[in-house]
Amino acid sequence: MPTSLTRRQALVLPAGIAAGSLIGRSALAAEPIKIGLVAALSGPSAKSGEGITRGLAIAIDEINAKGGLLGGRMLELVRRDDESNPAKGQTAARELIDKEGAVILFGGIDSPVSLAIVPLVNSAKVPLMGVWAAATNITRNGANPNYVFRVSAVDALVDRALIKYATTKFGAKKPGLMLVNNGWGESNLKGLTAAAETAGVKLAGAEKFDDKDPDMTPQLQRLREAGADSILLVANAAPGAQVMKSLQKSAWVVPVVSHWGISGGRFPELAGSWAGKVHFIQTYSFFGPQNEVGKRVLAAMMAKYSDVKGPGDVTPPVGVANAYDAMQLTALAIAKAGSTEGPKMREGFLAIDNYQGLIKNYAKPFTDENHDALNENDYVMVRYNGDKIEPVTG
Amino acid sequence: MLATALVSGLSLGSIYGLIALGFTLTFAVSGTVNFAQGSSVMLGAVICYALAMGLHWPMLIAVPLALVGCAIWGLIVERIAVRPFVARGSNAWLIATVALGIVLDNVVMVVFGKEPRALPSSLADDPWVIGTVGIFPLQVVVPIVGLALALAVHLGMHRTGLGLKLRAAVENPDAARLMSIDVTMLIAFTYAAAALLAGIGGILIAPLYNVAYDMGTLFGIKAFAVAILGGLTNPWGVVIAGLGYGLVEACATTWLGSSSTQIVTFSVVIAALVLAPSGLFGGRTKVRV
Amino acid sequence: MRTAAAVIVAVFACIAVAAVCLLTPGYYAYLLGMLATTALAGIGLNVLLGLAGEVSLGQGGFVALGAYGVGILTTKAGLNFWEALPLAVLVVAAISAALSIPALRVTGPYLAMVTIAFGFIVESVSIEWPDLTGGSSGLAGIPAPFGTGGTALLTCVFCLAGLVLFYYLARSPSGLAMQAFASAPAAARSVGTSPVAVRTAAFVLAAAAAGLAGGLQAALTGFIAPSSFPFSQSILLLLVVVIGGAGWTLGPLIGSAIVVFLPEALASLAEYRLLIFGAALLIVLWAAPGGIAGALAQLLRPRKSLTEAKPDLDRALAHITGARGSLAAEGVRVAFGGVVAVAGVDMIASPGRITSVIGPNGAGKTTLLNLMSGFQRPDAGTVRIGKQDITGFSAHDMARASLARTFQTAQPFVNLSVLDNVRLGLLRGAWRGRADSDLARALLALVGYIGSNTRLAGALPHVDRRLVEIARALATAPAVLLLDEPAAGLNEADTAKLGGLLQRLARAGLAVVLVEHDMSLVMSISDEIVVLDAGRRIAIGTPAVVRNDPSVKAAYLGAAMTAGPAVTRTAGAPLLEVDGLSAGYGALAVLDNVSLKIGRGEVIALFGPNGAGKSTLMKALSGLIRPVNGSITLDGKDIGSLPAPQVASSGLILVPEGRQVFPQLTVAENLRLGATRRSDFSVSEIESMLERFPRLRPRLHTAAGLLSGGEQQMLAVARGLLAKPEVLMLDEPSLGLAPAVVSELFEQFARLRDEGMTLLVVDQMADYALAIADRGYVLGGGRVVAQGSPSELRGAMLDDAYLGSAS
Repeated sequence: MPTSLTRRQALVLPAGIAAGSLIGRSALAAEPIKIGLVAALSGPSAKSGEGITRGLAIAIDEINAKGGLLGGRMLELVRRDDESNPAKGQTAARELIDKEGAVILFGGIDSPVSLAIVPLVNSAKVPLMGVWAAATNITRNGANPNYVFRVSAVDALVDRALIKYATTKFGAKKPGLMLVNNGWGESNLKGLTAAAETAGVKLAGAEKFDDKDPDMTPQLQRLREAGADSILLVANAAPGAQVMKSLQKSAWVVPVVSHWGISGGRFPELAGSWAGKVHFIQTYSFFGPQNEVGKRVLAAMMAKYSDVKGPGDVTPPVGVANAYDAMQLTALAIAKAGSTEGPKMREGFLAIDNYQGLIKNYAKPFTDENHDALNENDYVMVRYNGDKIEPVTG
Repeated sequence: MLATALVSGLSLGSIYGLIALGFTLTFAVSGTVNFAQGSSVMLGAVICYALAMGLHWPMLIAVPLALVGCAIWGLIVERIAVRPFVARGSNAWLIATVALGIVLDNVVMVVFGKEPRALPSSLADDPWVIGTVGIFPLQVVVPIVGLALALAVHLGMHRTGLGLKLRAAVENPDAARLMSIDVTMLIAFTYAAAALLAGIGGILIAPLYNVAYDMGTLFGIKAFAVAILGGLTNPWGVVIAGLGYGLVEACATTWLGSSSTQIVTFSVVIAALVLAPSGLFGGRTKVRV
Repeated sequence: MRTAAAVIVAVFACIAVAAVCLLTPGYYAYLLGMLATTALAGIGLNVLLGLAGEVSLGQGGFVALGAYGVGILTTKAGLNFWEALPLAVLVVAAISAALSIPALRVTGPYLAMVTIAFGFIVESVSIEWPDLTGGSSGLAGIPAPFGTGGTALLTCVFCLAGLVLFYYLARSPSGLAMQAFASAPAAARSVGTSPVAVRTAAFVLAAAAAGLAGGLQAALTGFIAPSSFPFSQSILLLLVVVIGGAGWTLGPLIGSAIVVFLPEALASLAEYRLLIFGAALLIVLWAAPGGIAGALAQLLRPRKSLTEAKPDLDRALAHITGARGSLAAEGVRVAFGGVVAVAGVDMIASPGRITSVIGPNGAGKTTLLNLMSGFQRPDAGTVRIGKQDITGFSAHDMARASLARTFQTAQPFVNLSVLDNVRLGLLRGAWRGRADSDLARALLALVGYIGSNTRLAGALPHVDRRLVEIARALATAPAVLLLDEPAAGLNEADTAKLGGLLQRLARAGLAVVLVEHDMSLVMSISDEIVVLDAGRRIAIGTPAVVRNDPSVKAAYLGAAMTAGPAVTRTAGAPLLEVDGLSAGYGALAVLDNVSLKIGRGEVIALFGPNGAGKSTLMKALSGLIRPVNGSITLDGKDIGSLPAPQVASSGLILVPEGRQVFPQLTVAENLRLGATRRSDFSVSEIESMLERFPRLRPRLHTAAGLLSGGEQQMLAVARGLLAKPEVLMLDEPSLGLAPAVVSELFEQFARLRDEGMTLLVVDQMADYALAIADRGYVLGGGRVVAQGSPSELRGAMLDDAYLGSAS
């Protein structure tokens, strides 16, 4: 049996492999750059984690296809499930940094998880890139130097935009708040209350509901009795759809302005015939005319994922778009830094001048004062038409 | 506001009661329950969705097939997560059913996907509206079906040979075995029936809600609370407790605000158990030395 | 040697843990810290589940409370960690003590629900009180006493302390009491343990440990939010204890290692992780139902217990001769739902004497014992020890009132060692104090126990369970010792030894009260005998007096009935054949090589004193006891391995002892169930049964539970007949029935015999049974001791079997 190993060979072989890997270690060029992701991959927010994964994967494919970074080192995505639990998220972040040797962490949808990781990355000097969680104090965390960057909305800014839109577009004088009962809803409760005060608008009330509540009629009824003339909605697609169904059921025709949560998932399918009544904020839509990057990303998505047949299947679009741009910005930062060391990468982010991205043309996206790449001017108001998202005109 | 609370509370409450009936069936005969009953709720809705929306089969075929699927799942739960542990006199069935529920939820997550989907129904599209109170026709159907099923369970227990055997097995399993009643098979049957009831609950709630791999968890926990309040062995008690639970929930939300809903409902559960340690409608516990 | 090895392993483990915490990157230290906090909460739950036997699904709520306690006290109240941690644990303990008031009113699934509800309330409050808790966004910046490594090491130290404390708690008076209460609540009360105190202590300890774990977790993570403590965590904690091995000191540590490390090992599976995790849990549960620690302990069972000092029997005797006093019952009476079980009985048990209580089944002997030992409250009458009135004392006060008892089915604390069983008796329900192991050993030697003292009582053979139970009762230093059928299931030699022991105890000055069926034992050792029938005292006196009392004979054997079968009938072909049958209940072997034959159309009577194995034989034949050794064939078909439903299906029908009708079903429904095995049942057959038993006709649609005893027995027989049996077995049909009703029943049996039915009848009323039987067998000590025709069996031999020999 010529193929069988002799005993001697069998002993030598593992040693050879070990030696080989040692050599590999010294030859840094061959070692991949590990990109960590800590996001909800299971549980109610699992879809968000998948969207982020896809956005990152498309960008990483592009970068690797061009020969990687730092002289041929390939990027490798290492994902961990945080189960939407801050303690688990911290475990995962530590593992990615200490065990896997990830050079940067990407964060997921849950603000509490990101908030739990922030002190960790600042002391470990490893950048954290937020691509979804919008709580204001994730990037404005008071640390100096601050290793946290974000390509996503900031609740405080979004809330100002929402109040402004409700008052100008619908003439709202007494909006009522419908908020999902988690950290995100809470962050927006603060933001919307502050924004309303600034705008001189009185709120009819703030009602909360759980992610899994099947019926929001009682909450809406309370707002209705309190004299609400419009609804400001903060929720993801499924509970958001439940709010619309509950509105439809009580036949309460009232303007609804929503945060971007409902763009994830299949809001039009879930909300049924009233889906089009919501106006909501968005950073990017894969519907309508696309820029070059948009066309390229969409094509790559359709090629890589068999379930993506068109723009409607790129869900949730915020997750994909934010993650894609954030990854490209990270690649630029690493290239600028010429290294994967945290402090140098941080400098690299601050040194990025210009990037023609998916969402917009980023010019000096990060500065010492501002670690948020997106701002009020990057939001568009959109609504569903069928399952397509189209800008609200007029 | 009262009308809204009533409508919302009764229709949800009857779903809780329906799912809780399943706990009653298995507990009465075997002293065990499927703690992952919520997963059976989900399974019914998911199979129904897969057949009706995925394969475009008519509802008349999709629903019965989904229910058959649930019943089979009930048999599987009993066979691999309950019977082996009960045979060894261990109460690890409690954890085993939870573990099996985790497995099912995650298998469905991988196969069905993570994203909630809609199971549209013409009964949940066009509400009947009176003043500020609106109601989907399905919300009227749900309590009717719930009560009808409770009645069916009652009649089945009291008017059929199988029901007679079940009641005999509940009262005295050993004597039942002496009447050549195969109590082991009856227990398996109750698990199938419990999963079937949960599946019906899932299919009924799906058009009002949505279909997702994790949709059952909360229903399962609330239904367990309802089953406990109802006294675990009393089918009518469980149905009434379900309606009561739904009403308390809706009333708390309506008058005290949504932030107090959970605190109020679960405090009521604790208070009720303090006043009636074996449930509001449970039989008195027998004490023997 | 083993201890030394264990110490070395432990020291190395500690050094390794310290090294990991202080020298490796943060992840590993953090993971160890998480492991330690999970284990700490698990250790607490192990007190509740492993020692006290109660399930809580709300431990996550207590963990959250502890975490928020530390979080709020440090970030909002400005305390430092070392001040905040003990305060937070105190707060958790106080809240759990308050919750224990409602929680401990309920048990089993109801308690599980209360704890679930509590967990959800904690979660809701932490979300809805944002000023204090930071709401959903959580609390950030919780200070840690050290860096990650140091804090992790601190949690490990706490965890180690928790393990050590658990180890000692499990062996302390209160820990022993918890386990005792979990395994045999009645017996625990009989040695003076108060249920409320024990359960509250377990509940509060479990919560405090969870709170401590939470406080440490808050410091370790520096950030907490409601989503840090999901409901699944409570389930996971339960899992930690169950998988690790409930009740074992190291169980929670092993369990947390799996629950914390397994997901980490599977981390790269991302979304498939929970799927694999769930499946892995199922497999572990199947493979090691007693938990991993339990499975390991099986492998590493200690080979030899330490050599012990020679037990000091004099000390044991001195211990039990302290208290003196007679037990006196005056006119005690109790009724259950209209049925008078004990109807005004007087008796006195004097120190230094053995007073026996005998009577046929259902005479009220055990009830009388329960009335005197506080397990049942008499409706009327008084019970006194010496001059002290103890009427209405609860069972756990009795031990301190110098009364001890044993139980009809021996109730040792199965999950405790033999020695701990007795030590618990020495403590008499005290929370603290030293239970002298040497004295416990001496007491075990005194009762004649010669096995290993470290063995779990649950693993003992039957006779040793009895002895341990008696030693435990003696350990409470009683003046009065009540024994409920101590000789049941013992062989002759063991019974003789038991008799000797009881006589020695009486000589030592105890008042011994004996309820016993073994008449030769009763007759040979009793100083006085009280005979009960139907709740009344029908005779009292020395053994000789009682033996010759005609009313006693009548109570046992039934009034002589009219003539037996006029002709000796010829038996048909063998229908039921039993060959070399041995069977029993777990550790307790009852039947020993029993063989008998029944021909078609024959009526066979089966006799023997209580405890001879008659009912066991009936259960073994009907399939209620499986597996059995030996063969049982019905009409040539082997049914020895079939379970009860299939045995019944093949036509061997048992009308069980105590009727066993379905009480809430109507008479008609009960009757229909009898015909389950047949496909050709028609409703008209019910009519034929009503003709046979006309008393049932007016009750046809009444719930069977409302029928009188005689009517229930008729129903049970009719139900059996509707199965169209090949062989109908009747187990004690006359039990507890009035003579007139018994006559009526046996007339029906005679009619069945004449119709050609094959019958196997067990009845204490020997004369009735003999009157209809073709042949009979006499069982004694699980064996066939005699067989023959009615005339052969009638007379002295049967008297001997029932009332003991005159020796």
